[in-house]
Amino acid sequence: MKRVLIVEDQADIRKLIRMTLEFEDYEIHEASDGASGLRMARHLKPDLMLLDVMMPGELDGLQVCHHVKSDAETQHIRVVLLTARGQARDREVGREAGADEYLVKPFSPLQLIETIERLLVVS
Amino acid sequence: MHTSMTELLENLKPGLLWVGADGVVRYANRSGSRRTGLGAGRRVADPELARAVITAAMGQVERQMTLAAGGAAQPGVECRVIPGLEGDDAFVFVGNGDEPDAGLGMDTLMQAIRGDLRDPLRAARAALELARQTDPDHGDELVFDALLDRVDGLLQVADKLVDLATLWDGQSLLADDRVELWSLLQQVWCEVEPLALGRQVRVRFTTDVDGRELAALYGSARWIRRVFVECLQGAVRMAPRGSEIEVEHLQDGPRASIVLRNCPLFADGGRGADAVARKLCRHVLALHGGRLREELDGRSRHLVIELPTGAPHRSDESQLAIAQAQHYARDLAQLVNRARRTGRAAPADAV
Repeated sequence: MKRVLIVEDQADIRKLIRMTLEFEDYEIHEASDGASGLRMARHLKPDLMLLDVMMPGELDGLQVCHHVKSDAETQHIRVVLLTARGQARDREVGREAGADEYLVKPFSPLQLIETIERLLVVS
Repeated sequence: MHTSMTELLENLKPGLLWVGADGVVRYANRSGSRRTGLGAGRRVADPELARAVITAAMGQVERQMTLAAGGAAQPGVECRVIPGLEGDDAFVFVGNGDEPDAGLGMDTLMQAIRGDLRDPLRAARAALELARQTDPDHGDELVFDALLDRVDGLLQVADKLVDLATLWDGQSLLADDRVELWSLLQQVWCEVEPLALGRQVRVRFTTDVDGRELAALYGSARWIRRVFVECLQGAVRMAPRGSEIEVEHLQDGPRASIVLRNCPLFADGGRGADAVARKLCRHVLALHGGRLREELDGRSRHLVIELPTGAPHRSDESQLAIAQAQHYARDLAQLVNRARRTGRAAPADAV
């Protein structure tokens, strides 16, 4: 069973993502801020992370993504950035941080599942 | 009226009327006109408001009152009438009671206009009189240099007041730019460096971690940049010629601090442009959940800019969650069908 880590500070959106993923066979883990998300990524080594960009605290999604992708132990983890910011420049910054995909909130749950499937098949 | 002043007054959320003691409106901003139906050149018809204007203009007494509405079904409009600038006029702030910060903002604005614009303007006028009386062969240049300095100072104050008024509008701070504070500091330094070179002041930037590792902040890059410019420029202007300023960037959990060491800027609240700059900085930082404070360390005085890092809480977050839930509801049938096709049961809380 593939392991997915959701890192999202908004509890309501985290729950909606979990409910979407529960239609599939995933082992789901959750974190509510960047620092604990990064700790869990290093510990759990999930196959994929759904990572909110704008989170309160010391690490935002872009920094977490950068850390994950620049560490040999975690760089295999597929990262999907989730954000309300959909400008071309935002996408470019996401790519620079090493993200594999970029979904703009509010996103279609079907699109989310298809994106995850595609990324996990490739990996 | 000067264009800066017009812009300043039009940007204010509460309605504003500038009325002469004769009851004739000299100026009304959009909001003031809309709420009272009065415009420049028209005479105040409401007898109670007319009396309040005379009392404020002649007696320099402030008054709070309710302006009767046109229709019986409409509630009255809360007004505050305060003395104007010249002794034969008054300002009427219309309907600011429903905006808690606006009243405070008005007081700050009026204080700044009176203390930081009107009084220096009078001093400049006195200097001009002196220049007229002076023998053209003696001292004219010095007097005019002094006048130019004063005018420049007033223009700076006016510019900052316009910015302060824009801030009260509130909308300009809804931006959620990703701001890397360390990088922004370096950009601001490029802007301030010529001033520092001119004054032979060195500025040393330090941080205890790699600048790229410092937390980012989400807010208005434009206004945070403005805070940095005001603080760095002020610090450089205030520093003794040939001295060094240390600017330290500290990360303490979810808060970032920019410390300007040995910097007494804003120590006494400041005057003129400095006083408005201080208000501007405090307001921008407060709206980002941060603050501007002084730190005393023995005989040294440090200026500290504190900001929370990461994304601030926003009232539109729940809107986003609702929109996401709507997307989920829209896709639910397809998600269930998909699960059936692959032989999986839909999760218990999905329907």
